Amino acid sequence: MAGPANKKQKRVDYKSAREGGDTKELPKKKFYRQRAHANVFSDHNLVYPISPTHMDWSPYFPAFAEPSTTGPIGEIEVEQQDSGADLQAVAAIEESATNTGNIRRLTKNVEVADIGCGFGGLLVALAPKLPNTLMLGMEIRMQVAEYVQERIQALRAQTADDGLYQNAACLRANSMKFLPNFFKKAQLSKIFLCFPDPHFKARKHKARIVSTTLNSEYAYVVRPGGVVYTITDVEDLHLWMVEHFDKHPSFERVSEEDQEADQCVEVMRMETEEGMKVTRNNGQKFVALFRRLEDPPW
Amino acid sequence: MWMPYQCIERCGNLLVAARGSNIELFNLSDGSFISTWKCPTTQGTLKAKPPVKGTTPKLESQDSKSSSVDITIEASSPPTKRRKLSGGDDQDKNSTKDPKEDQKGGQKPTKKEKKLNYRLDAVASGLEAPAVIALAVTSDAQHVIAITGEDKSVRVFSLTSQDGLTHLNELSQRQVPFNSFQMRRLMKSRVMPKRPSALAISEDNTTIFSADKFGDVYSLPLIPSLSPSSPSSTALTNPQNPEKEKPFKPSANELTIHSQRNRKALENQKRQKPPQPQKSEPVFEHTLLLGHVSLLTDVKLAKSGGKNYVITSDRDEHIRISRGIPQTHIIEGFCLGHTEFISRICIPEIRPEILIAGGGDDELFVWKWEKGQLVSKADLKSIVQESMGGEKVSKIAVSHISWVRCEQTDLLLVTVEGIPALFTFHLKDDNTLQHAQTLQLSGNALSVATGIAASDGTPKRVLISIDSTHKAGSTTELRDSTEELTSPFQAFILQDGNLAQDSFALSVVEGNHVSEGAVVGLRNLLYSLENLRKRDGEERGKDGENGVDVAMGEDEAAQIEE
Repeated sequence: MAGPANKKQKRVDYKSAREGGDTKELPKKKFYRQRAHANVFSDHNLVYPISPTHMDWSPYFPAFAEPSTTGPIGEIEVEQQDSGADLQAVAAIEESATNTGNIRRLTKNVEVADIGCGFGGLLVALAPKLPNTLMLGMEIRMQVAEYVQERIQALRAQTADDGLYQNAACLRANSMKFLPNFFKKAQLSKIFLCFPDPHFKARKHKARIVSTTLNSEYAYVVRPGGVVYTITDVEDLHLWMVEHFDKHPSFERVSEEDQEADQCVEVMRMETEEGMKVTRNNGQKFVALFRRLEDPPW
Repeated sequence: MWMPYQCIERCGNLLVAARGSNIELFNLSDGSFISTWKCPTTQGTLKAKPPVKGTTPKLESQDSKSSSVDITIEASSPPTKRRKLSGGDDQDKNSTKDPKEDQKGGQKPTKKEKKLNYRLDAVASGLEAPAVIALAVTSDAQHVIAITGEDKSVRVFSLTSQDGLTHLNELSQRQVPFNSFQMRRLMKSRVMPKRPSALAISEDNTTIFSADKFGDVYSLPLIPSLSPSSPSSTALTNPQNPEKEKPFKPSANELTIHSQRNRKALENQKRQKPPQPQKSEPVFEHTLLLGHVSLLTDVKLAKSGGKNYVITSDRDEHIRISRGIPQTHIIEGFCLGHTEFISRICIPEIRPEILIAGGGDDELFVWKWEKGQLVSKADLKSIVQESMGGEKVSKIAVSHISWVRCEQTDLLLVTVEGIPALFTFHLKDDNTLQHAQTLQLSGNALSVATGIAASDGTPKRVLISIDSTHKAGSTTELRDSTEELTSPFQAFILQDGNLAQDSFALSVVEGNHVSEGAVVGLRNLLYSLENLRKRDGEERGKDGENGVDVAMGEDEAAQIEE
């Protein structure tokens, strides 16, 4: 097929043209589009840290890295340009489980995770609103994750004077499998599940991002009092998510009143790519928030 | 070639040994053979292919009749009455197959047929009846639990005496009111939603924990309740699908779809007669406790400070620590450090805070599981390599880890898939492992049973089942007729903290012969662990555009197909 080959070449050209310079130009989505569905059960050649302590966050949040003796921050930024994100993580994996010494720590931990961040609309909208909170987008589609990385890079360059968007980053991950590899127990205060793949077929339900068994993992990484945000345009999926979170003893539904008072909800409704698309198509949006409860004594 | 014994377990002074789809009992005092339980064949298999393995002439007439009654699994019992009872079975069996038909509105019927054949092929690939893939014994040695793979069943047996011989008597899910001709039993296994891969039994011997290939752990009462109660609903039971009650309505609507083709599909869906909603849940009592999005490889129950924990290991390098019943939805922590799949975990009775884990990694890992703290690692691959005479061994897959105590020494017995040796490690006081012995075996190690009473009455004996079909050191090459084993078992005895050869032997009866057609199925049954390893997919080459499941194991793919 001539079409795809040509498309591939264009993508390569486009990306190599972006490489190197600190381009302030936002990336174009058309060079990063990817089929909307990914099989969460397949291995995907994923790169992920052995454990949260093995995760080197400094290339993702260079502005929040602790000053180190290994080199100036700029050096690391250069490294990130050449697809360094993956290399860094590989390095983390190659490390023995006991030796985590040369990982540069951050001055603060990642606290917000946007699971299935897509093209990063929520991150980009939320980052300036919560400038001191580190937020991470997790996306399973490689091209799309790359797009968000480029987008954040460009936004950082654009707003270099104000230092905005330093608190947002994106990486490629299968969070249904590897969430505990990235985050420690009770590390997160917010998880966003925005417009997830509805997986209509009954036999695909295990692939849904919300299930009672998977909710246990969200409960593990979210601290008591933290909130899981969900939004979807599919009523069935909304009911499913509500049902499964309601059933999980570690979560309670946040009241309508509190929900509407939360500034993140409006962002989630209006600023996510999918949210805007649904608005364009006059679709419905169903929002539900769930608060992580304290664990009962054991 | 005789069928080898793929799993063995000690049950009191009996040895429970699974051989293909049969389970044999041996007396461990004198090594004599006692009895055999045969897993009933399934009709589907017979239809799909002629029996691929030499059938045993001893097959009871009842059995052969029963196999033609319906597709479900039942053991010998008079066929007349069973037909009535099998109605429930039918429903059960359909239910495991049909959920995938749900919501499939516009699909052509051929799809269903194809799926069905798929399954039958899987069953027929090696054995005429589902093979036993795991065994467990209650601590009071009263019950034996077996998983049969292809039919995804959990079967519970009690040991009963008949004609002076001990038999495995499969317990029914429901007790049948008995008449004069009928024993008070109905053979009915519990068919799980997905194929179980590991078992654990609660300390009080009342509850079975079944971990499956879909990543879920269920609890089942050891003895099924008398009344066929509805599936119990606890914390994690998946809520019933609301569509079951209300008339069928597509999940999507005009507002959620945006493309021309999808819109068309929706219109078609609406025109379609809705499929009759099928009940997808098995009817026996079972409770979903927890779940990984991965294939589970082992499950163990642990105790710390008087509290119970469930420990699960999976293909994606995770060891998860969850609270025990009734708070299994709370994850206490993970032991993260493995870089390949984990296949076996072991908690030494005497050091319940320690967990030894092995799998596709080159080392064994010793964990303090409650804190998720790695204590030590011990190289295994180089030892395996040494045992093979320096031959290059590129990958290893741990197939067994068990703990035994001999005087003041804690020993770990380790076997590796496709390796004709037993490796022992000293578990030292500082929780490090030191390689002690490499005991060469006459064939690949398949399973290990410990705690067997020696002649002086102390539980010092160790029994290992050996692959009698494949060449030592190979998982693919079959033995020549000149290399037949004298016995599919080898015995060792603990002496001064080490293992020594032991002359103890079991009088094995000639089992089923392995026909050529069954070789592939047998290999999959005996050597499935290496398949868990992640392969480098071609995703990079495809630019990651499609997200195809290139690296998915066959098994996993099959599971998802279901």
